[in-house]
Amino acid sequence: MGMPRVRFVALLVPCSACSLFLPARKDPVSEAKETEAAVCPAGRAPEYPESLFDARSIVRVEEIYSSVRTGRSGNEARLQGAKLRLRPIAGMTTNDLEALLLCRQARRVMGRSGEIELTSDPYWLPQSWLNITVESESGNFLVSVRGPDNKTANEILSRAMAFAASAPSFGNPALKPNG
Amino acid sequence: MQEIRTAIVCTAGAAILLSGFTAQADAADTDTAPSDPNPSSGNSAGGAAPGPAAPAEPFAWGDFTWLNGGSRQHASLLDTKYFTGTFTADINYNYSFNNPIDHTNVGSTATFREGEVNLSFIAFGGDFHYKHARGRLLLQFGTRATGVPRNDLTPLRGQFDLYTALRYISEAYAGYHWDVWHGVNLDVGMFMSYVGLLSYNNFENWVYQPSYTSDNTPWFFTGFRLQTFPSDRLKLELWLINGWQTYGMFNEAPGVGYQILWRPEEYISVLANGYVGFDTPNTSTRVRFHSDNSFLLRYYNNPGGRISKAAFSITGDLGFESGAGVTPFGGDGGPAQNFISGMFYNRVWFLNDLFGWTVGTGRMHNPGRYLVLLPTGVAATTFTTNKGDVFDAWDVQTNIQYMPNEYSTWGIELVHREANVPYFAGHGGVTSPNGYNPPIGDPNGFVPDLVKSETRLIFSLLFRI
Repeated sequence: MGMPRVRFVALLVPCSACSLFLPARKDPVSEAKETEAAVCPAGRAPEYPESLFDARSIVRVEEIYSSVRTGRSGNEARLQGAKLRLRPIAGMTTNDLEALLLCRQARRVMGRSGEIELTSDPYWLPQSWLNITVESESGNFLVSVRGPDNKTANEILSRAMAFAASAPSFGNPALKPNG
Repeated sequence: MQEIRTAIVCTAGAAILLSGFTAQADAADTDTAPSDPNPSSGNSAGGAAPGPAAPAEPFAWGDFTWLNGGSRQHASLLDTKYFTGTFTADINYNYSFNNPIDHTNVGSTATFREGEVNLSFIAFGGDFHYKHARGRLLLQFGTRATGVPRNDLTPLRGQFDLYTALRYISEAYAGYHWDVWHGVNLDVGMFMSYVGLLSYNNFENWVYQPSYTSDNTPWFFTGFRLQTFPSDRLKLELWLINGWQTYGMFNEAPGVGYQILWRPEEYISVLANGYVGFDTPNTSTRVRFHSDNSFLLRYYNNPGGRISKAAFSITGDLGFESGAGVTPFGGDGGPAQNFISGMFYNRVWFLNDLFGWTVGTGRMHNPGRYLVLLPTGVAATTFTTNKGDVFDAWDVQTNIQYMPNEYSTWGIELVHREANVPYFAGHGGVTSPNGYNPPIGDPNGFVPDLVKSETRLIFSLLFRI
């Protein structure tokens, strides 16, 4: 009776190696390539509305938390990033804005030229791929920017706060095209 | 004893009434507070937009996904405005080199069956939250629904079969949150205990088979829990509970306890729990004291490196019972009845946390055997837990875990355990000569085959969202 079970266990050990064939995690550049191909105009930067990167368009910045069940201590809030409440932009839908921000992130991660540079830019980070979504609420855009880990989330929140506080305008030295 | 219970019940009642009034006032304030007609006024003038200077939620400022007994998930997938859901599937194949003929494991709350694919813990439910009110329901199925409740003898007191009523619930409570300090929560119902560091949900642990310090201490409590967060790095928690991992109450007085959780830096966590209660059936004058203390340190952190991080956890417990013929450490009042235990784990993560390798060891000393997990089957009637009965045990283990993402863990674990008396399931098992229960087997006259050591291989696959 013992031998068949030993064989079964012996089979389980190599079978556990099957897990190595599970899909690996994507890197930011791969994400950027896919996104650029999907939402950006071919070979150039999209046209951004003038007010989009004006910090005065930000009504409020909030933390984004996710409630994670952890250990025996109950739920813990995990910082995800920042939510920027923006004033409406004439003629722009949530889908349009989401595509613009994703495209810009992809092009910045890929190092494309012609993109607007912001100091304390909350919409992209080097070496990271941020989850950006846009919703509509009470006439405002709600732009949610989430990072893959706590360090990135803290960086997003910090940048969003600093960017909102800077209240620059076009023509401000903090805002200039790169390349 | 009756006076103690009356005093505790009156105090708790007054506290609940007071918290209810506070909650009502709090809610009224919220409902009647005028909304800001021009929330952007400050910003439009070129000032800073209203918003936080830093994360205000407790422990949200750091990355604590490395903790033993804590979730490694950065986000909850089923997180909505009113409900945060969760689902866990914990499956194992637990192979003992003793080859027990009844496929039964002894002395564990993580593995119950042997030599079979086993659904150990299937859990689903979540948290409901609306404004400051909150409630949680987490149902459990699998062998844990029978393997853990059996260690609670309070349902044997009185009627209404608490085993049947509650075995499929691992957590359920109603509660309320106040925006005081960094948060104050009051929860009433059944909740997890955190004594013994490791989590009830194995997805959160560095190892699959917890050492004795965790396995033999409470997984859950039933009663009141008051959580306070004076800062975003400190939690102080008080409990008023039916007993030591119990649905009901052994005697006439509830147990009381506390927890202190301090995380001064992202790489340090300090945890202390204390408990006092009366947990011996039909013996109201015997008091139980328990102190549980853990220190966790992430001593290496290199995200993106081949070795991405390394950490250890060390836990030490000291407990005793006193009265009704036993003394904490021996003397004129009777033989010693105490629990002295410890466990140590070291874990190294590789390839951006794709793999984890853990080694650990632990031991327990428990004269009186009041925290020994009683063997199952016929062995439950032959294994004694009398005053002065000594139980010493130790274990050593290592595992490799593969974590392709935050929601899946594949594990292989080797664990060796030894005790000073026959305790683990030997080849003859603990059920009957042929390993079956009646009518296929006949346990009459059967002597269970308990042995002093066991070595097991545990294969596990866990999924959690």
